[in-house]
Amino acid sequence: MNQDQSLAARCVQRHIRFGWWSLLTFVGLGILLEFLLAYKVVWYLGEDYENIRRLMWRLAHAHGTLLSLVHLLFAMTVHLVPATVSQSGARFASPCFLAASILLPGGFFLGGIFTYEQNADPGIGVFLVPVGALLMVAAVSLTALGVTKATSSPTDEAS
Amino acid sequence: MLSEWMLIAILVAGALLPIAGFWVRRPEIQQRWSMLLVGTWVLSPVACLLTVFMVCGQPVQIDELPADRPVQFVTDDYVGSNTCRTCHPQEHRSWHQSYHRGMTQVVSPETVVADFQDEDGYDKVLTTIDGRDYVIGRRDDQFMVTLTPRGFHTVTRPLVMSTGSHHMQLYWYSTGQTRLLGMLPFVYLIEDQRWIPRDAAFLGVTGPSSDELQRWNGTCIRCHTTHPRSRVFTGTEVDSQAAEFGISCEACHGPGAAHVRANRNPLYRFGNYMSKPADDTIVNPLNVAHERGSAICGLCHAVSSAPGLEAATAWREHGYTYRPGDDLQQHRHMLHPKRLDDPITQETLQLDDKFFEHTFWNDGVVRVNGREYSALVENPCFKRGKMSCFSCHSMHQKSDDTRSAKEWADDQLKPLMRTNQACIQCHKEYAEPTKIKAHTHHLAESAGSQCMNCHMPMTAYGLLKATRSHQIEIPNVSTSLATGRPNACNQCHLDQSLGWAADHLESWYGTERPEELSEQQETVSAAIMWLLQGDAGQRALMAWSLSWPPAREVSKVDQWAPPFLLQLMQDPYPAVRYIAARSLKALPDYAEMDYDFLSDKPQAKAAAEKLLSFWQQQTKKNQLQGRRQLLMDEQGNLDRAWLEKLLKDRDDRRVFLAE
Repeated sequence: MNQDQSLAARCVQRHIRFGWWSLLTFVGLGILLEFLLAYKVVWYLGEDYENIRRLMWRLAHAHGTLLSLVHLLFAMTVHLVPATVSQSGARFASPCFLAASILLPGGFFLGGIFTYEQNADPGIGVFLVPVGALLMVAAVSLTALGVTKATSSPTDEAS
Repeated sequence: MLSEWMLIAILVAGALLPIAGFWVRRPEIQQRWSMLLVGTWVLSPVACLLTVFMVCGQPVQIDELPADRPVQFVTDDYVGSNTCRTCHPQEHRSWHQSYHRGMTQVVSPETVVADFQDEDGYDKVLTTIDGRDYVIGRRDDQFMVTLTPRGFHTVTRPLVMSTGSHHMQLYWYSTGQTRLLGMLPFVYLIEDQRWIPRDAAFLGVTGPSSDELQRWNGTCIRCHTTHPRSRVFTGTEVDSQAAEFGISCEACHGPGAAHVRANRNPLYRFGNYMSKPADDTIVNPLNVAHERGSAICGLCHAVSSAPGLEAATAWREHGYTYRPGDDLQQHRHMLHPKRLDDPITQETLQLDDKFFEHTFWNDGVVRVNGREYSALVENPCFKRGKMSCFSCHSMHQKSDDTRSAKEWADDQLKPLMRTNQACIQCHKEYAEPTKIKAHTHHLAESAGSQCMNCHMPMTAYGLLKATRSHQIEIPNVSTSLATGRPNACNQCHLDQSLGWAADHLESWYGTERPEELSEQQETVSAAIMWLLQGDAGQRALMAWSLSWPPAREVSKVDQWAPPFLLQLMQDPYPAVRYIAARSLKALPDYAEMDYDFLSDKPQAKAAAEKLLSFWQQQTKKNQLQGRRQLLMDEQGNLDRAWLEKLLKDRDDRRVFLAE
């Protein structure tokens, strides 16, 4: 196993683990939110179902679940095209995905814990969301570039 | 705040870990932080949720609430309207738009409707009728009053509570002694956007203004809050609490804790939806017998007292024992002049022998606004039928109601309940225009064919206006003679005499004509007789009636009424002067008149004389020539000598209407 293959194997392992555990976490959060809805928990639903906390946590649930699937997709991509991570830029996509998966749903979640102006505005944690979003865009871009380079034929490169 | 920043820091650190690891490039370290990351990520939501539970799950303790004013403190299974809102957002929204909600509020920039600055932006000086100054102002979000209580130094106190949000708003200051409030003796008229002394806003004899303490804690709290506990222990030891300020959900539906507990369980809720039984964990006033449904309103909208001293003492400490759906008679004693011989009524009369004069006409018909339940229960439609408050009123605006929320909130009537539809719900025979025309002897679409105009005339007084009597009656001149209460015919046909009304009632309905009508009662407009010779309450009703659109139109009020309104604008009672001035302003040519109902007697007289000259100049005298029933002479001029003569017999007994 050369260094690239070893790098790819570790990357796959990391993202498969993270993806499945993250999926478990956010599926679990979804069930918890269902529970809070069913039992009409006021501090979650708010006074007229328009609570900012409810909105934030639903966004956290949705983003967390989808990003978990993105990790699994990334792991599958690296497994199928190990050369993707041989590109230093594409290698950086891995930590960007991880950081984005923490900041995006985490920012939403924190934004729902502390709220301002009688639940009209989310907490300061919501400012982590755009940072996570930028990292996510970076990660997707780097992966796309890495995959493109790794799958390019020598003819393509020569031309 | 600190915990929020800590959680953010943890999250950022978590996000930086993989990025830092990218440069470390040591597999065993990467492996370790990878596990750490996953573990942290799984555990952190649990930690966050625990934080939320700790922050939100703690009930408010009484010592965390303000100590210098009455407080909202839920107890005795009450939960507060915010809890109801979670499951009933539409009902909550319509209630929130009602004036019941804003009856009591904590003073804040959002709740205050009054102006606290003069035209130059300085603190405003308000002066009572007897010349005492109060300086009101605003410092950031705080509203303050500077006053000099009798025998004390000048003090500045924060205004902390307000009463009313529809017609008027009153304010209460914190005395700084426990939760005892003092009354700012002024009223802000919302429509007029004007402060007036409190004495001028109610129909009573004005005296030296007083720094009323305990009024809110002992009286207003009873009906302007939900589940009130007065807790006035001594003069200054006061710990007033209410489940909620204003009249909120649980005032009508009863305490909600059991309902909330049961309905948190989704299986219970869906079981109820499937089997459709009435949810017996809460009271729906529409689902109980009409007597008990109406009694819910009757707790406040009735002339009643505690059933004895022991009950009154218990009320002060623990609040009402009555809960919606209960038999109100078991908890409150209904006072009525027809039941003079019962012991509690006797006790009440020993304390105030004029008690019934303040609230009832002398035949037992309610005379004041806000006591409609006492009138309702006397109606055959209630006794023998199923008429209730909810036959016409709706405490929630329905989603298919096309009226604006503001229109609905004004009286909280169901759609079309200002029309004959209200009565036609039961008296279906009058849905036919021919039938109603035959019954009323008025055109079917005219105001004279509106059931309520004849059977629920505007003979109750309150809030500087006349309101409908809720005791359904048949117009009768004899009743007017015996009670002084205007009959519906003469309250609309303001230019006609009692004799005229008696003739019509006799010929149309066979109503026996009273024999004892005097010459004046036969010939002079009944409205003029009441406004010149009636007591202050009658004068106020007539002052209002002169601008009531149907009466104005049919009686051609604009031609002849100004001199009589000008007379009322010199009345000893400020409230009568106010209503008369408002009615005169409603007439063409008088909207910009120079008159202030609070000006002193000579000024008021001078203004009235000036306006009378104006009327004499611009009126078309040929239309008034010889109309003796309007006190006009053959030339169409006002017979002032006759007017003065009638005025000498004015009923100047002290009137206080306990609206």
